[in-house]
Amino acid sequence: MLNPGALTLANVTWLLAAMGFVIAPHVARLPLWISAVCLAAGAARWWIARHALRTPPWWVMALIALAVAAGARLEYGRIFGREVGVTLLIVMLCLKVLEMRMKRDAIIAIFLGFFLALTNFLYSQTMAMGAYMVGCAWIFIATLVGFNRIGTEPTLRERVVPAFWLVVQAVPLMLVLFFLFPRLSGPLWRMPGEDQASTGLSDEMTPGDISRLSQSEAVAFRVDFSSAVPQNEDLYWRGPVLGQQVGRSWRMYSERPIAKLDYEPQSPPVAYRVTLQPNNKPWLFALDMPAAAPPDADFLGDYQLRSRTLVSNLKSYEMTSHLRYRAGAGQTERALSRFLQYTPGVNPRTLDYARQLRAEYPDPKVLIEKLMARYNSDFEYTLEPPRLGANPVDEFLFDTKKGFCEHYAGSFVLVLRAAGIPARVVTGYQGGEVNPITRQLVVRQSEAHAWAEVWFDELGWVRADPTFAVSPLRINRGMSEALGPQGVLNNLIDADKLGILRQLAFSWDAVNSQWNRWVIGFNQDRQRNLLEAFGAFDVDWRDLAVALIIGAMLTGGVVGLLLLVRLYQHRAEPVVAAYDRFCRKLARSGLTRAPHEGPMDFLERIRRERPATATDAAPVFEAYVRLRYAGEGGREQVAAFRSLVRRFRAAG
Amino acid sequence: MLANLTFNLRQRISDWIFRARFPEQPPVILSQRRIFILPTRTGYFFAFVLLLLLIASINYNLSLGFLLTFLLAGIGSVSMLHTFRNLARLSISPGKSEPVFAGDTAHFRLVFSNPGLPRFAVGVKHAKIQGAIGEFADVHDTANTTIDLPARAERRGRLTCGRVEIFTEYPTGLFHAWSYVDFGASCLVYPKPDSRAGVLPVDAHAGGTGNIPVSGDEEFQSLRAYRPGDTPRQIAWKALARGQGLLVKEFGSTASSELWLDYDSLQGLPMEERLSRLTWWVMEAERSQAPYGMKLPGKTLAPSSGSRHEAQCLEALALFGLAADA
Repeated sequence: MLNPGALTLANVTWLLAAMGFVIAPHVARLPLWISAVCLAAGAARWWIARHALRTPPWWVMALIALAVAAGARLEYGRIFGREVGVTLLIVMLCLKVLEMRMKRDAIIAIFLGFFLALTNFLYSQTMAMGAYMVGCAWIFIATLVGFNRIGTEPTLRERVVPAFWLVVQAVPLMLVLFFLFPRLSGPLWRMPGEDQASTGLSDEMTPGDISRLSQSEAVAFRVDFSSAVPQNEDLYWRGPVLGQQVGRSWRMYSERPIAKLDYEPQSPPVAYRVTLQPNNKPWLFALDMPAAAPPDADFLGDYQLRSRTLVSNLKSYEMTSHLRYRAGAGQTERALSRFLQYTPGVNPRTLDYARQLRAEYPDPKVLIEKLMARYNSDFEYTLEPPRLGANPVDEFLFDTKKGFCEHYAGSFVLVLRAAGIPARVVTGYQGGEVNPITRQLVVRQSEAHAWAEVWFDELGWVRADPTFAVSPLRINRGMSEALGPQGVLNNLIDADKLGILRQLAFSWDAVNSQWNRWVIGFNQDRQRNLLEAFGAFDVDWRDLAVALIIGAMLTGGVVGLLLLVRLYQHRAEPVVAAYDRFCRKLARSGLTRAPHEGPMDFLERIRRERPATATDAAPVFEAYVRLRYAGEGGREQVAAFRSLVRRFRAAG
Repeated sequence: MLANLTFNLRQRISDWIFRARFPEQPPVILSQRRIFILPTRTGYFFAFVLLLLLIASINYNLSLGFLLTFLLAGIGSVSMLHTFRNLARLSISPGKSEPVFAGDTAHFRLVFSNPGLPRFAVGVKHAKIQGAIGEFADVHDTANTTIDLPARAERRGRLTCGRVEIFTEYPTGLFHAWSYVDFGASCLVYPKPDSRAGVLPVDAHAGGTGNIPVSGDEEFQSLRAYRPGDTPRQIAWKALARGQGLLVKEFGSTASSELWLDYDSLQGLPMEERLSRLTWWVMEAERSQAPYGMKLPGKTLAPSSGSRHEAQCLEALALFGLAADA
């Protein structure tokens, strides 16, 4: 008698393959030696299965586990936290696979594998990850099906096809649960020290930061305007405002939230909705000048928007802005004096130059014009500026004269401050690209920008963009026009004269945006909006629970009916079914078989009534009689008969 | 504990179902009403795993985590239907079971036929034996599938098969679907042959009064009309070809010695041991191809030979002294 709990080589191999599949995306993040341990464990388990050896005793497993835990402690410097947790889970899974003896152990390994698949989503939730998730479910279910085929060894088809149908039939229920399961607004608990790498602007700007950032094609945020998209030169997306100069860098002052905005709008408001990609930073971006802060965010004194929590998930907020304004009427002398600060002793040539300018042009407006004219004359706008030394602004302004927006904004503000004019650096994004399919404005990291704000006693804070003086194209037409193609993708896109690739790129972005909208960013708000679209207002979790149960039962019922109806369909034997098809073909040509008529009698009648058809039909009748009455019935004969019927055409 | 509880529950359920209709008339079709389905221990564990996945997805706000959790939940629910479908509408009839000797393993045959979809890993086990593993087979739609359910034949007599559980956990092992059938099938168990019986009692000529002609197959004697049960070897095919109808050739032999296997000749031994020794002798006699008769208290089988005769003798021994003879 066979033991249904025993493990066969094929099943072990499948399980190992499934484990490899689920661990694969983690490998890039794992220390090399962990991957080596996992690979060794898998190989050892396969060898054990192949040669029907015994699995290692418990104390060997315990030693390996201890050694790996100690190694992880050394590697990560701690034993708790996301990275270590995922690593230890992977090792645990590999060891479980190594020591498994019975079907039960394999099932536990498969269930652990589900967790491991989930941990991948902590790092990435792209569409590719979605496809990968379905792949994980498929391969694990196929493995499970193999383990439950007791008695016979399933073929590849017999593993993969039932698992495929299980996954497909589960999709309706998945969707109902996904859209109707009551969503919470925040996490249940938070693990300490969960910081992760991110792209985006930070609270400090050192030359090179933004040019590095602008080489990324990653989307920073998307914007839906309720009316027309403003001109490109008005699309200044305000981010961190940097007022403090420290050595080579510009930093933020710690600003307090203000209750009410102190500027006068001078143009009608523009309304839009921003969908911000997660970046683990608190900044929210809005067009200069935002009119009000979103619900869970504050206005700081320098008009930047700061979310009260880090943006670690896709975040969507409604905004209004005034593109023309008069800002900073309420600034005090003391507050303004902060924007005159600079590090003395560094960049002496620049400081001298500033003083000289001030002496020559006492009117700040004229001074700024002159300074801009200087940038305009012989400076070059480039993503790859030369390296700068101890007095970077000096070198940039007087020697290299090549730089990116951060060089221009930084040097500009420093000159004005040295000349006694309050000024500050503002970072953010400039421009964006309208996707013609979704009509959304897509703002990428490559559009990161830095500009300046200058204080005029009569005008308040005024935006001044020295980059505009160097490269007006950058502001009027956008990044790629100013600098030429960036990156491989853009190279391709620009080489593509017919615009097909560009169209594809837009379509792809449109798909991604839908993915963000309906999958990644599907939260409490979206759920409420969705229900309101169906006319359900003021829905609380109890209503959702009822809707969920009804929806699940309905979809379950429909899927169940479709599944079970095949049981009750009387399915004729293949041979009889093919003969019926054959008779229908004859009937269409006017030869209807009487219910009492046997195949040979029918053939006789056809011979009499229509000899031409009879010659074609005779082989079919003969094959049928052989199959039905002479005991033939192998697969090939049945297939041959069916193809005879398929090819048969009743002549005239 | 839990296993015991569910086992008892299942026993109760099956007792309740079989209140009225035992034994059942074959073929039994596993209709929807006769199939039960409950999660397995793996199934409950799976539900627990789903709960943990859901909590993790909520906490880290992982949309793909939600999707994975809900997809698995969907797969779990759909697999219940698949497990149910793997049994539903199967048609089961009892097969013939060959007699065995006590101490051997009897096989109760169940014949499955399947109207449509192929079924995998269909298991059969004795419902009354807790912890039985069972026998598995795939039931394809092309031909009938037989599963032989082994049962240990401890004592001679009739071994009844009892209630049989038909079950499956295919495809995911998260659910156990099962049903019961009881055709009242039984299997004849001959006494265990006892080699201590020794050589055949050829010298025990009862009476030994001379040469009595006994029907045998040595010399051709005459033709007589065919009676059901005559072996085809004895049919006079030439006579049939001549159009004389079905006739059987009778042979005569003059037995020089007559072999009687007599219960009473084994004085001083307990009944079961006598039956065991007689069993041994019947098999020995059959092997020697000499005609033999058997005398049991209250039953005498006239001397003859052949597998039919042997089976009759062994059956008489198997059922000797047992009330349930029907």
